Amino acid sequence: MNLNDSLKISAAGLKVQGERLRVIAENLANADSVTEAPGGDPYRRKTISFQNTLDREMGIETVEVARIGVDRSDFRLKYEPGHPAADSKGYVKLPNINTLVEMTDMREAQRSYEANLKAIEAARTMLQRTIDLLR
Amino acid sequence: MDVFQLKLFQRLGERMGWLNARQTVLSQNIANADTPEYTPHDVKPLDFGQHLAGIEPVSPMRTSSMHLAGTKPAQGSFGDAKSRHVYESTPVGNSVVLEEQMMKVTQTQTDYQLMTNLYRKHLDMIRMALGRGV
Repeated sequence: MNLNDSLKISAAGLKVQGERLRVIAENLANADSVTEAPGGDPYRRKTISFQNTLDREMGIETVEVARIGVDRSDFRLKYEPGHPAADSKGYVKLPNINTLVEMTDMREAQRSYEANLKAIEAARTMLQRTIDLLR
Repeated sequence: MDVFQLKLFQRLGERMGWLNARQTVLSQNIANADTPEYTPHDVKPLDFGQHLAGIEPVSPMRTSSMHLAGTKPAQGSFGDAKSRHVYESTPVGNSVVLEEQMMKVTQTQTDYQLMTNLYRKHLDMIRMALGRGV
C-alpha cells in the first residue's frame, strides 16, 4: 500500500464517474427521441451501476462499471394524432426520461468526481512532502 | 551513521507508512462512494504497544513473477477493517459519507505534514550537532 496505489484508485473513481456522466448525457440528449414506426417504442432510459473490484496485479480494490442497464418503467404518453409515430388511438410514446432526475444525478456525479479529485490532490501533496525531505 | 537506526526516526517512518495506508483506504472509500452495498473501511489505529513488542500482521507475498496473483487484496502491514459505525446508508446499501471521508483525508494530510516536519527538524538538529549549521 502506497500513495501510488491511492492515486490509481482515485483515477478509477474518476473514470467511472466520467462514464456515469456519459450515460446521463445520452439520456438527456435523447429526452425527445421517438420512433418513426406507428405505436413503436421510443428511446429507453439507461442506468449505470458500479462495483468494487480487485485489481489482481496491484493487489488493491478499485471500482469499475458493473452494468449499463435500461430503465423498465413506463413511457410517457402524449396525445398527438398528427404525429407519424402515433398509435391507433392517437397517442405518441415519449422516452421515460425525467430531466429533473437526470440533472440531480448529474450533480451527484459531479460531487463524486470532485471528491476523487480532492483525494488525488491530498495524495499528491503527501508525495511532494516526502520528496521535499530530500532537500 | 544510519539515521534510521535511531528509534525516533523509525517511529516517524512507521507513522508515515500508516498514514500512507490510510490514505489508500480513504481513496478507495471515495472511489466507491456510489457502489451498491459498499461499506467504508478504515485502517486499524496504530498500536504503540504492539509495535514495541515487534508484533506485525503477517501477510503472504508474491516473491516470484511466476506466482499466481491472489484473489484477496493485499492487507499491508497495518490491516484495515470495515467501519462498524456508519452515519447513514443509502437504499442500495452504500454507507460512504463523502463529508466524513473528506474530513479523514484532511486529517491524514495534516498528520503527514506534522511527521515530515518533525523528521526535518530532527535531521536539522543532527546536522547542527555535526557542526555544519542549518
